[in-house]
Amino acid sequence: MAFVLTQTINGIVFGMLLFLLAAGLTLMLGTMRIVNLAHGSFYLLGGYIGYTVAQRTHNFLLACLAGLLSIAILGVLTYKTVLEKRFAKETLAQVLLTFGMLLIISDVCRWIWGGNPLAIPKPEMLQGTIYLGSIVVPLYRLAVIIIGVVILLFLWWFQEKTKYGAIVRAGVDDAEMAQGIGINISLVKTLVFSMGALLAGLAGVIGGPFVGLSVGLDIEILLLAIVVVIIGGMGSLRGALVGALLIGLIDSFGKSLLPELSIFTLFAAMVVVLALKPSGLFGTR
Amino acid sequence: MKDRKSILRIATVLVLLCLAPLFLPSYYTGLLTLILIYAIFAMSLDILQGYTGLASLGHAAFLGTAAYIVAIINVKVFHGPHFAIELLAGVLSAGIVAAIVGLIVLRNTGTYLLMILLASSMMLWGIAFKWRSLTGGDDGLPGIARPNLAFMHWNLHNTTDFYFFVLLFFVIAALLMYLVVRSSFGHTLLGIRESETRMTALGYNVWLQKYIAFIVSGIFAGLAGVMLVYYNGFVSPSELHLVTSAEVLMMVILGGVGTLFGPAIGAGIIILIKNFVSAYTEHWMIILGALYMATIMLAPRGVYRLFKRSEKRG
Amino acid sequence: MNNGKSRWSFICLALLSIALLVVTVSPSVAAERAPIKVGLLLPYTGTMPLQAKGVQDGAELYFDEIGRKAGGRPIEIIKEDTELSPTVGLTKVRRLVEQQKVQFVIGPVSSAVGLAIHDYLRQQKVIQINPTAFTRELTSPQRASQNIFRVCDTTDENAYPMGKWMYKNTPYRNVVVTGSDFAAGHHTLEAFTAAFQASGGKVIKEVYPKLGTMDFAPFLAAIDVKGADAVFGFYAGTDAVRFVQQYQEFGLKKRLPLYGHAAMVDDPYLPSIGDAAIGLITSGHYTFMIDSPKNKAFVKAYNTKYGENPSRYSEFGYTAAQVIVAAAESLKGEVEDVQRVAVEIMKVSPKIETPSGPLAFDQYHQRVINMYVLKTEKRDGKLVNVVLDKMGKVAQADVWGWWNK
Repeated sequence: MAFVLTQTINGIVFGMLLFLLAAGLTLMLGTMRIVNLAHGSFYLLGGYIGYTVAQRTHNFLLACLAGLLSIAILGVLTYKTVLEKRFAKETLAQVLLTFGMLLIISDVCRWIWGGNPLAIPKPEMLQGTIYLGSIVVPLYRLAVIIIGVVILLFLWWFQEKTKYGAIVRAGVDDAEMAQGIGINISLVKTLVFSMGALLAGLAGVIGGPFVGLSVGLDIEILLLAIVVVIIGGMGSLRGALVGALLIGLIDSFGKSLLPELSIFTLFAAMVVVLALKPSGLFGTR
Repeated sequence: MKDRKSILRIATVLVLLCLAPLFLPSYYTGLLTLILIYAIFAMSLDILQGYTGLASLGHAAFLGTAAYIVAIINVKVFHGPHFAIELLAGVLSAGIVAAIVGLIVLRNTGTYLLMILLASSMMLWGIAFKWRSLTGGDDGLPGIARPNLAFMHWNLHNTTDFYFFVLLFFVIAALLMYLVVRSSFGHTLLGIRESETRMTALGYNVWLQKYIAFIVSGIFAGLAGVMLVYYNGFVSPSELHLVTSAEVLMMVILGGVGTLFGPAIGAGIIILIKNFVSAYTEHWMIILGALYMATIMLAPRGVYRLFKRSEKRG
Repeated sequence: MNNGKSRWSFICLALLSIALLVVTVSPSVAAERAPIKVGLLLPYTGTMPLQAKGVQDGAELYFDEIGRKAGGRPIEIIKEDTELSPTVGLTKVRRLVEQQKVQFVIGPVSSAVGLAIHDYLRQQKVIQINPTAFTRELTSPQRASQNIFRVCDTTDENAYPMGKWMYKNTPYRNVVVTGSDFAAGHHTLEAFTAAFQASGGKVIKEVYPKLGTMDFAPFLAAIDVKGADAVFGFYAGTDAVRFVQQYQEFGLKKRLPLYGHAAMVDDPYLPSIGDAAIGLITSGHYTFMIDSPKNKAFVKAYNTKYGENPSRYSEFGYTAAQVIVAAAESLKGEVEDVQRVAVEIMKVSPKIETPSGPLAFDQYHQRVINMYVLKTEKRDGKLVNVVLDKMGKVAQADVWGWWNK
């Protein structure tokens, strides 16, 4: 029983992290049909920047802020200069542009921070562990769950209660039609892209203490985010949450019960969902 | 298209390729061999991408499957080369994977298809990665022997002999692929790329045509996989990885989507650049990434079309 | 249109320059007493860069000590990065051998890379001195080759004696083994298991997370199984850092003492691991705390040049360099004939004094190596590995009975 509980908590923690990543990715896909292969790179770069800030200031909050802001800016720049104009409709072009960015960011990270995996030290007040019965739960991981829920609520508020959120939900991408309702569609898209990027960067810092930062992590975590989005359905935040928790739990239990099949089970879950519901659990397209 | 100029061009290229080992040091002959292998791989993707209009980031699935099947037969089953069986098994296995995957995913289109193919090939990667007893896991399978063609007086351990071996298959594959895209089937594919709804209205079974194209494309990719595993003497999960799929897609785009031979040139460019840039700087990935981005932004139709376009202007 | 024409000429120019590069980058013309070329084939990028640095620094220290000349010829070092990938390693070793035309290769670090390039190197006219890739096959009777030498302990030479030692010197009888899921991990743990069980103990579970695992939580839960009294592990590089840290973080260290291969507490990584490493007992062939005149001189020179203490990788690199130089000196610089060089290496190696003792190769060119049991402690505020016990000289033939029948 203790085993099941520990693994469940581990799974939820990892799932929350994946949710932060997948939420951004799925919004980008839903609103703009952009497959952002550099999303994992945003995670990694944000994490590294947070690492450096944490090293200098010993302030974890500042590190989060730094990771979040820097990647938000990167997101805006990327969208404006590279993705927006010509390539709005060309999937392939976006994919390869973002893949090119993946390569560049990956190498720049290696250049600046070296090939040695790093970990961000946990904030002082979250360094302990608490004991729920016989289960050991590091405080920090509990905090991650709480942060995830907070962000989830914020995103829900954004989608359900704001004008921009309505646009995102409706998946409107026709500029003329949007202008007719008085919305600057370009602003919405920029906002969504930078928000997604921001979330990825923040996730990188939050994950820093227990997932770490290393070469190759960008692709690894991108793949997990993609599986989550495929399972959850493109453009659906609900799908991103359900998918992320599902994958987090499968990953956690899979690794401890069937370590030989752990990677396989993740993708098998994806295939099963696809066979039953081709556009994902909550997808509409 | 079979006018005198293009026949002359093709003949020149063939002659150059045949003479290459004579004036190239063995290291570069080896490199050219690798280029030919990737050229087959890239051209196979073009059938899917350029002619049928199906974007795929999972093409490595076919390359890797064929490579692993050959490796497993070579190392585990026979403890030595058995060319005919390996070739057949490799190519067939790629085709079978295409048949199975295509059955499940070809209902989807566009972005979704792209991501599903990506994830599917990574699933195979995951299997190869974890099934240590069969695939060697992350370490891969070393010690794969090249075919024994002594009866033809060819020693495939010799760089030059192996080069001609690959060249032979390259020519055959290129010819076959050319015939496919020039046939009425090929034209049907072009029609599908332009507009699926129109083709359906005209009475074509669009799904079936896409399915066949998917399998054909997979079979040729499998051939490339067989050659690759002989070249390296080794196979690892990276042959199934996203990075490989993205690389071959880049080769297609750089060379020219839908031109069939453009991707072969794209393969050459990318392999040469990777090789040379990595000799001078350890930051070759930045240069490669910048190259990809520059290509998309400046020459999205590819190198091949640039040649043809300026030719028409005289 | 101007656009098309300028683009076309740009592409033309680019292709022409590439073609020019191809033709001009040709092998250098031989001058009198051309340099002896030594290729360093190491994973400068990836999860084991500090191992690569250690080997390189150790080798270069020795080359500097003898003035970068051997047998009357200057020594030229060419570095290639394997990126810890077998595929890349194959490409790079081809470049070293066929394009750069090196006579010696020091490398690789990864056993997977070692296996991938093994068949290729066997057929080439170069001498390979393997400093770290320790999977047992590379010098087994089936696969050993005249031109391939290894100066590091094999997985067997390390873990097998440790299995016996642990049974004899600790009260633990029900051990869980854990390691990264790759060749080296499996072989190390298999060797340990064979020895521990042959002595009468039991290995009750095996846990193999994949190489590069970020979060060990689920695996630690799997290790923490009822009835276990100790854990023996093999992790290297940054995996070791994370594993050891999380082992403590999840509370296992108090209940299940952690033993392992020395790679778990490699000196370069100890600062990253931090206090979580204290108390770990591991099996290794070297620590800079070894008290011998040669080693003390080595440590001092290393500190002077690099400002830090040498690790076992430094010792491997240094020894590899010693072997090359000794052979080159003895042959008066004539190192082109691979067979002659191989024979010469066997002749001169017993006279070489390495930082961990005199050098000896067995008939398959595997080092016969001195093994120690080390303990990680904090001395003067710094984490170091001290010698706890000696396991004596180990040859691979002593420890392979359980698989090499």
